[in-house]
Amino acid sequence: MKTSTSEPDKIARFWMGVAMIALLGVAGVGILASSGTTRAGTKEPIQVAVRPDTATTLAAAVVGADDKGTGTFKGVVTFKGTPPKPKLIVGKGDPNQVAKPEDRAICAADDLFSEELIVNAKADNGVANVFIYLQKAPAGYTAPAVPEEPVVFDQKGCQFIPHALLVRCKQKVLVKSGDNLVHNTHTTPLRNNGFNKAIKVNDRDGEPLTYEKPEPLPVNVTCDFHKWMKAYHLPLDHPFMAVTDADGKFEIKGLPPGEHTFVVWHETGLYLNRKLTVKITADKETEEKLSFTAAQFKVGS
Amino acid sequence: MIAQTKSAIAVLALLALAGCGTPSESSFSPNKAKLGSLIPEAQAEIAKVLAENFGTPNQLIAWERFPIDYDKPDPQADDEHKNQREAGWRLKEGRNLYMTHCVHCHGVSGDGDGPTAKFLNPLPRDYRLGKFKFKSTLGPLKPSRNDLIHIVEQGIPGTYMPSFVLLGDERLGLIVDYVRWLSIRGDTEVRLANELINIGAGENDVSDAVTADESKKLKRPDVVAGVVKSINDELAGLVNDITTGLAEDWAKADLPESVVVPESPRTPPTRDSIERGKKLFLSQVEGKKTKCVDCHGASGRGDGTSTEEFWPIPDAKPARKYEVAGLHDDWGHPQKPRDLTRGLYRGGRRPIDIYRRIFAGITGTQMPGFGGTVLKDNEIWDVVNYVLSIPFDGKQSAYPTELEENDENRKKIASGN
Repeated sequence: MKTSTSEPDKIARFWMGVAMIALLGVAGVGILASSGTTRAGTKEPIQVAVRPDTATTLAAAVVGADDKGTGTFKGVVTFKGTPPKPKLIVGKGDPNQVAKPEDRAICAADDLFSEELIVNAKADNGVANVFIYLQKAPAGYTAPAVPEEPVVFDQKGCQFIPHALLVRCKQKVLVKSGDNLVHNTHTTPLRNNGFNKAIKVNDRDGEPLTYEKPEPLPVNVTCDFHKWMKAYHLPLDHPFMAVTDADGKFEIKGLPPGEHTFVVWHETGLYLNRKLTVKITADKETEEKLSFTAAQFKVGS
Repeated sequence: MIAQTKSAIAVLALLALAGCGTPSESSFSPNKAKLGSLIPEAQAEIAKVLAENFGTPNQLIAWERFPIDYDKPDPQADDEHKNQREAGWRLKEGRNLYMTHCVHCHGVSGDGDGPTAKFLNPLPRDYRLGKFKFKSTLGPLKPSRNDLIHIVEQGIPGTYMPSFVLLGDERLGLIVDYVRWLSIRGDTEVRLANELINIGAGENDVSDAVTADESKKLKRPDVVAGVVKSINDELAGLVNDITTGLAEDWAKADLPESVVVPESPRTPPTRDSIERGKKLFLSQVEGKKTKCVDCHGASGRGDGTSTEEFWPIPDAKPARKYEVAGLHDDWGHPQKPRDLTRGLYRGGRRPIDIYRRIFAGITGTQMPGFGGTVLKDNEIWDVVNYVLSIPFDGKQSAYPTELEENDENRKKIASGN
């Protein structure tokens, strides 16, 4: 192997180079030129403007509502019409071989149904796991300190418990497992960093997960080892959020009086209502009955 | 003669490239995949924000909010360094180097879609998601500046990313700082698009709002006007939150506590350690299930059952699956779990590189972190030793920590034990 280039080669290269630049110049549309490099035929000088970091001052806090008393927003979310039957994901004994053979004893111990839409026929078609929340804390409101107590996010029989979780920003979520197999908890938030960790067999101590920033809508949580596993986390920087219970009921306490705009979100219907405006009065309960159709839940009846 | 032919080919190739397509102004192209679902008015707002805060390739804005060293101008700089007399000169120099060495694969806007990209597999990294796979930092964090320098310096084995070691440290740093700036720009664009969709600026949201109005009086321009008003009310706050957050994230990646550091030095790659690692890899240890085999396969060929399944698209509403079987990364591209029999490791072949992949997982992929949860420090080292032994049929592990250990292994192999 030669390490130095011979003289004729050098000359050849030089002239080829000259030819290349000349041709590019003539064509005027070479990649180098179009990308604005200083090397070939750029007319526009390249400039850099330095911009100092002056922080944007946002609107200052208005007035605290603490002395005026607070109100409660409560109600129920129901399904209008005949609800669809729950979808079976993993049948007992796994006849359709959805789970991996080594996981069947646990994941297919019993019939496993999808939790994407749970309608309670015994409670006037109340819908569980609907999120009702304020995307932003009311102006001038100071949220109480973040609870020291962590919230538990568990896994049992290859399902997440709870399916819909509320948490404050910077509050610890402990990801646990009660299954004798390995899970992995994989989140895809919009504002926070994602979390993707394997969770050990029967982990009762739990793996900490923290959301630093509030999310605009509930975060998708999955387990890549058991793809049907789904859950939703809603981290907010204030406490005004609720998830409907098994009867479709919800309650949000301690709201400052005045008009508030709530989001009503469900995993299949997504924004059931982007702007649910509710007037809250001090020391009173405001009640709303919310009802949505199969089309709004985006499911076939 | 050979040199002549090569140069001739180069000239022809460049002419061919220059000749095809229409000449474009030097500009950052919008993230079509992300912005496509927004109404044109919202797309225009995002374009305005990006132009105001980041400029164009020829008129860069070096925003001091970000933890990037643009350097102060030095009016006294001698003629050889006269470029340093200008403010923000490091960003400009980085840009010039990027435009020379990187742009043909990674694209002007860092979208991984330069002119060469369509011929490559795997595709060049698209920086705009702000996600980088091969890094030393903990799970979800950004890569450190040194991580990116390491990649540009070493290249990525098994891909088209070559080593740029010959550029020297100074220029590698300039390139990486420009890449970090491009990533922040692209990340801001993606995050803004997410936020505006959330405000209701999606094409679907607008048409839904029109059809949902029972009085039939609401027309599209009214809805659009309402959305544009909400955008104008929120935009300054959103841009502030997003850019401050990204500045914090990139600064955090460079803190010492963000780096994955093993508690103990590597366990010597003895047969026992390799055997223990193999059992962990194959999920044969009671109470220590790992699922490595699901993706990487029992023989480590990267052909586990996950590669034959159809995977759901995360966040797709309504739920649907990818059309191609096998795993996909966060960019939506098909990806294969590493074939461990070949001894080519994209994030580096040092034992510490493999350790970090297992401990922290790989950002943007399904590979989860096992560190601190499923596997203890010494167990990760056992798996590292096993993984590094797979190309050698488990008979030895590459890169022994000590030569002595190596000799010991050789003796064992020579004696057939």
